[in-house]
Amino acid sequence: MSQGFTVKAGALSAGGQQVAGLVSTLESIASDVVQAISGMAGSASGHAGLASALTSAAGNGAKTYHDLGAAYRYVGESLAATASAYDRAEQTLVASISGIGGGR
Amino acid sequence: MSGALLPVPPGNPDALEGYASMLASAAGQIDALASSSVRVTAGIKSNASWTGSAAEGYSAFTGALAQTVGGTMSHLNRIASAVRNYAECLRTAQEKVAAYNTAVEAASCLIPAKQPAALAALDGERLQAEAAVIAADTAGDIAAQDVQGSMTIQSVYLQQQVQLLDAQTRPAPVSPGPRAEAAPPGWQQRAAALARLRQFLGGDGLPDDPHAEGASGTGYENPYTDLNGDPVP
Repeated sequence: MSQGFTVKAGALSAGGQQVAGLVSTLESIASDVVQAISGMAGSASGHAGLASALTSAAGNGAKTYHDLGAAYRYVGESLAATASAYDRAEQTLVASISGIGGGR
Repeated sequence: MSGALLPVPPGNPDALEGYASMLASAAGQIDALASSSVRVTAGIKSNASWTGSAAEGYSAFTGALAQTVGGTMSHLNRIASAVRNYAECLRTAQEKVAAYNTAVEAASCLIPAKQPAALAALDGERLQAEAAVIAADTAGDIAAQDVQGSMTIQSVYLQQQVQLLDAQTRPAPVSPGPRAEAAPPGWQQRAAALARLRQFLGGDGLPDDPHAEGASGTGYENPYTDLNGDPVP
C-alpha cells in the first residue's frame, strides 16, 4: 500500500469545503423538519397528547440534526487539519533534503 | 332523540397534511444527503490518494455518519404517516359533526309539531358523528405513540453517542510525520462510537453500510477494527 508522499494535501483541503456544503444542506433540511413538526403541533390542537408529542419531537429533532451537523463539521475541520499536517511534513522533509544537499 | 349540537373537534387537517408533505419531502432530501455524503467523502479520499489507517478510520467514520443521517429518514416518514392518518380521521369527524349540526339546525326551523320526528330521524347521524370523533381521538393517540417512539430513539440515543464521541476524542498529539497515519486524532474512536449507533438503529430498515467490506459501489474494503479489536460492522 502506498503511504505518505502520494497524498494530495490540496485535495484533502478542498474536501473540507465540500463537507462544508454538506453541512449547509443538512442545516437547511433540519430547518424544514423543525418547521414542519412544529407546524403539526400547532395544527393538532384537538389532541393534546399528539400536540405535546410533536412539540417534543420538534425539539429533539433540532438537537439530533444539530449533533449530526457537529459531526460533519468535525469531518471538515479534520480534513483541513490533516491537509496541514501533510503540508508541514512535506515542507520539513524538503528542508531536510535541501540541508543534505547543501552539506555536500 | 337529542337536538343538542355536537362540538366540532378542533384542529386543522389541511394544515396537518401540508406539514406532513413538507416532512416527507425533507425525509427525501435527507436520503439524498446521505447518498451525497457517501459519494463526496469517498471522492475526497480517492482524489487525495489518501491511504493508510487514518484514511480507513475516516472512511469508517464518514460511512457511519452518512448511514446515521440516512437512518433518520424512516423516523421522519413515520411521523408524516402518523400525522396524515390522524388528519384524515380528524377531517372525517369534523365533516360528520358539521353535517349533523347543520341537520339539527334545519330541524329546529321546522314547526314545533314536526321537530321531534325530524330530530329523531337524525339519531343515526348523531351516532355516526360521535363514532367519528372517537375514531379521530384514537388515531391521535396512535399518532402520539408513533411520534414519541421515533423521536425517543433519535434524541436519547444520539445524545448518548454524542457524549461518547466527545469523551472518546480528547485532544491527542497530531502525528508530525508524512506517513499516511498522520491525521488528527479521533477518526477511529468516533467511527467505533458511530458504529454502535448504527447497530442500534440497524433494526429499523437502514440501508447497508456503503463502506462495509464487500459493499458494492465504492470498492472499498474496510479492514478497520474498533477499540476492542473487533471489526467495525
